[in-house]
Amino acid sequence: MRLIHRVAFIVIAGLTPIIAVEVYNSFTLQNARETEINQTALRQAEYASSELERIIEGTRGVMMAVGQAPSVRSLNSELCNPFVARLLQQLTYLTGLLVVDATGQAKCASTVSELSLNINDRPYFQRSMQSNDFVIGEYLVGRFSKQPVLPLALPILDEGGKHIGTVVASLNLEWLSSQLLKRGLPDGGSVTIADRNGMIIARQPEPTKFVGTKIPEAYMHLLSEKDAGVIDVLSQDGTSRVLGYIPLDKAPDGLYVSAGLSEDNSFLFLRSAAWRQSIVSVIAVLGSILGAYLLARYFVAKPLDQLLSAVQKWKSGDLAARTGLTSAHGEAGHLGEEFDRTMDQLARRQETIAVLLRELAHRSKNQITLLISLASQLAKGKASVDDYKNAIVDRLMSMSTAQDLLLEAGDKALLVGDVVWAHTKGFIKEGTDRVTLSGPNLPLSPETARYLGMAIHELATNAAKYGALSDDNGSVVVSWQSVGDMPDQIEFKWREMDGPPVEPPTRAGFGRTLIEKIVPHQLKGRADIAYNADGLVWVLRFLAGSENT
Amino acid sequence: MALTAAVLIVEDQPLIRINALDLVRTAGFEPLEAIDADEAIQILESRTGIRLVFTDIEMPGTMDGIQLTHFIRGGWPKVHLMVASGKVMVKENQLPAGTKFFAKPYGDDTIIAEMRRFMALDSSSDGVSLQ
Repeated sequence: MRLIHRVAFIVIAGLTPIIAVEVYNSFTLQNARETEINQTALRQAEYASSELERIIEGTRGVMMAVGQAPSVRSLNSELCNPFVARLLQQLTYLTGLLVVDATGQAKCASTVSELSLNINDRPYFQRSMQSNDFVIGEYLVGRFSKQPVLPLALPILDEGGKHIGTVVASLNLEWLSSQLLKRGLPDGGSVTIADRNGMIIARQPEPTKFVGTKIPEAYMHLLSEKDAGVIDVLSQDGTSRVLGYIPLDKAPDGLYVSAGLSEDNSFLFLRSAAWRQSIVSVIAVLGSILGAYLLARYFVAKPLDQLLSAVQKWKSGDLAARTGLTSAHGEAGHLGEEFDRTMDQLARRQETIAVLLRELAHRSKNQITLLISLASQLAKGKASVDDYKNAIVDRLMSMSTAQDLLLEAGDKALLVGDVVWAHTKGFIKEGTDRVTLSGPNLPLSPETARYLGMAIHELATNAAKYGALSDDNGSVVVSWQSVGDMPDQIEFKWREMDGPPVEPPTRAGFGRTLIEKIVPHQLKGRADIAYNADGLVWVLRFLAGSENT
Repeated sequence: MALTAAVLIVEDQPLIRINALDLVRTAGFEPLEAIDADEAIQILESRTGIRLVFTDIEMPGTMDGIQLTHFIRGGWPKVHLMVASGKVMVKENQLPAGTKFFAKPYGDDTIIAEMRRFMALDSSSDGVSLQ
């Protein structure tokens, strides 16, 4: 798993509970709002139902009053017709008002022609006769008015409780529909009232389109529900609705009321709010992930990638590879900076090592040239290969001794006494005191020490072979001091005493050339050699060289 | 003018120097020696007859061998120049034209042959007999 994926995983893990809470809130809010919508639909139905009940109760009151009128109770048409006609004129919400006798024959009417009516065959009349009670009829079109009406029937009883007649009122359904508007309708809302057969008797909106039609078969079962309720429906006009309904048992007897709220409207604000919330949530979540991605990329992934690629490049030989990071990239940037610094240091060290290696190669070439020269010089005048070998080995050992001396001294300056001791101690037998050293602590440059050492080695070798150290009596006094007021100038004296008689050499060998010419020349000094009878004396004046090296 | 052509060896290492002096003798010329550039210039100024300078590059003192060759080419344009060094990275264009470079360690015979070749150039061009 790449780092950036791990970061994304962490962010998502962190956001998940928040998203869950958001979804839960959204869900409960939607539920609460749905409940509220449902209650609104139901309340609309209840409003319509109570309005209907008020109208019917009012009409029933009027009908009771009609039933108590003496002219009506007499069932004498001549007496009661004018009363009914006057009354009907006042009651605009009725299209007809009729009083029939127990056989259904009209006795009191607003017009003479209506007196010919017999409503014996009407179901509501029959129900009223059976129940001796107020009855709400079913949708019908008035025989004379030709208008859709809802008939209401109220029995007239004599003092003994005998059924002597019935008051029939025809409720104007056009008026009833208009009454549904009194409380107002929500946008896209509808209210429907149907009779016991499911025939619509009033509706808003579009009453003329729906009144006199049956409610769809799919909703017929709502009429016989036990309790008021709410369902989601696709209504006849094609809109999706929440329908609050009051079944026949709960509405004014024999009627069904429903109120629909268009979901397109009722849920619009709900949906848009929910959508808004969802979109904002989604944007917030995406924003968090993007933000975390970018930050992680800038502060973690990118610097680490750069670091990794720089390390890999470096490993594969690109020594100039750097991360180029700064502390602006956070801790990983710091790491990169440190890496770059370390690589710079390493590069400088490698450069130094390369320079040193070149210098070493150069010096070793010089050294080889020197050895070739030494071998050539020593070959002169050697009688045998053994002599030649001994001469070479002796000088190489001497060079090695000089090298050891310099290595041991390290940064410290070598003193004259150290050089003398190093090159003479090998010639002194243990427990004897035949070489005496005396002089102040005078420092020498490494080169000066090397050449002085070469000369002392030649002198000591010579003394051991032919001079004061070749028998048991001789001794060597080595002394040195700085000359006058020039502290860098040294006078060095090698003096042999009590050895075998000395004879000056007959020819100049390598050793003699060295102490008489090479070393004095090299040290920009002067050497005097005396072959005294009791021993050789060699005096060298030279510059210590320690001040300018 | 000296009758014998002289060759000046400039080398701070004495063993290498005396060996080079032997090569000059073997080649048939008069050997002269200097430890460093300062001494070499002193010798050049103090006498005539020096036809060739064979110098090391790395030397103590105020000048190294490369600077010395340029100085000699300026002051003594007819003197031939030979240079030796343990450094293999010396470029020919660092040296005056006609200078011969040898990487150390060099072969004795090569040096002797080169000294003789330079001297032969002189005797054929200006007719001066240099033995």
